[in-house]
Amino acid sequence: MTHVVTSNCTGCRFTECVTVCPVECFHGDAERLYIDPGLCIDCGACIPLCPVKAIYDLVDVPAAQREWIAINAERAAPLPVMRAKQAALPDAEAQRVALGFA
Amino acid sequence: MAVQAQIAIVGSGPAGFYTAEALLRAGLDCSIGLYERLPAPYGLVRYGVAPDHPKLKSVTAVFDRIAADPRIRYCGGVEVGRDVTLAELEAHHHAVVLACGSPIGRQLGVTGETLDGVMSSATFVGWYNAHPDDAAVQPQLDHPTAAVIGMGNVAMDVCRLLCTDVGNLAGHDAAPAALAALAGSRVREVHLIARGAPGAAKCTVKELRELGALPGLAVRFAREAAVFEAGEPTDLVSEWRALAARPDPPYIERTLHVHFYSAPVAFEGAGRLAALRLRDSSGAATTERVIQCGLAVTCIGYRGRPPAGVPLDDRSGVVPNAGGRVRATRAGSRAGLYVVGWLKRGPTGVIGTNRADAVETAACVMEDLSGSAIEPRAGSAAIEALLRARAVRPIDFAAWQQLDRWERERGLACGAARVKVSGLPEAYAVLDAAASTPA
Repeated sequence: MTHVVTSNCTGCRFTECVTVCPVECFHGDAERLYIDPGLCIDCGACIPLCPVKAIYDLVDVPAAQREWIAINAERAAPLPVMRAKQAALPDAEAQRVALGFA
Repeated sequence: MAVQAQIAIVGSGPAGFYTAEALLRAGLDCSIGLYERLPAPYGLVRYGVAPDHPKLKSVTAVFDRIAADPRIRYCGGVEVGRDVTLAELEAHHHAVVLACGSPIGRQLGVTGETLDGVMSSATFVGWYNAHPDDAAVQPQLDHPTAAVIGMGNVAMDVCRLLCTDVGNLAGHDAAPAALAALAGSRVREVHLIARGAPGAAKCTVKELRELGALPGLAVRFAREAAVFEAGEPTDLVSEWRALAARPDPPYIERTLHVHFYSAPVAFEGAGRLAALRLRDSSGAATTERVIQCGLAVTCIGYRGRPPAGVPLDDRSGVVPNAGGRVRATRAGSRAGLYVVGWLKRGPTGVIGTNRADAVETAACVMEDLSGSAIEPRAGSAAIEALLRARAVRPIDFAAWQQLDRWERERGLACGAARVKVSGLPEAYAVLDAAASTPA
């Protein structure tokens, strides 16, 4: 089991989640974050912090988002760990509104 | 040469460890004394997280990594206020961070709360998790009905422990005495009682789902309509609705009765709890209801117990602070004194919440220390000298790791992940025995 960062993160990357991860399992690139499933302990601390509801417990990942399970597992580990809050991406606020999380 | 900052952290739960990590990561040239009153570190990860949640406990690997930093001096078995005073810590360090949590169960403040059979979650959770302070606790499991008051994750844990098959708990790190008592438990009906609405429950969807998933558990609602009140349901309310709508298991072993809008009025009984009296808190009814029960566990929060002389806000149960700086009182400034974790923000959040919290407190420490030149202080070396003079024997991290191995080995013998050391006397005995055995 693990938690999974799904498509809503892409282009937002608000990074509130990384500040409460007890095991620092978030990794990121210029566009978004990924969770390393080998490290995540399923505490769920990150879920309520995401402004665009991008993070799901593995068992709750919506059918249309299930591809992200494998993408998180593949991409997370080689990318740098994100442990501190970063500035959100420039279009993050606009995208938040577009996603319906005004 | 710049003066090295001497920092003391009181308490080695998540808040204490994450504060140490944040200070070191921020590049502070410092030495950190980490003081723990119990024989083992990790605070509520060890003594709060339920035994059937082993994955959460794997976070201790992170704390071990932090403790391995040579700038941290870990001292277990040392109680501030008993073995060393807060004033002594303050005199020998530039900053003292209180990370000693909220160990006291909140009281409902209704009559009968001191009856035998009524206990707070602090005691009940300490009992099944083998907390040294709760070794003598014996919950009343000889009556078929128990009540759990509160609707946070702790209430969910307590309900799950009362409703699960004891086989699901064995194999982890629960107290052997608790496992034996739960194996003989006669509890078949558990009443979960909350003052508020289904949507106001403080538990997470995950914990509620886990409770609902117990095999053989039927769920009843005292007033099912409350679960289907109008309005867009939150994820949590949807989970309550799913529980209300699902069929009973083919064979009912235990039943969970959920009561919303129900406020305890009194615990009744002659010496021992016999009944819990509830009133309707929605205003819809004026009649009181009585639940006959032999055990009631109040899971309504916790209060801090800081060292003597530190102010505690009576209403919130936390140390008054601004971002982690302990506020000055009429008695004077508390410059150099900080607070983090539950003692700072109250008993909310999960393990990781303390990481962000610790970063905030550590930033206050950094800012205050960088403001002006500091004079050299002796730090943990002075405290350890005081402890030696008082014949107090700190358990350093290497000694804890020895205890950790001993606990795991003891677990192997009974098919458990570990059997926890019962308290300081046993810890010292184990360490002495290991020292006298030739390698």
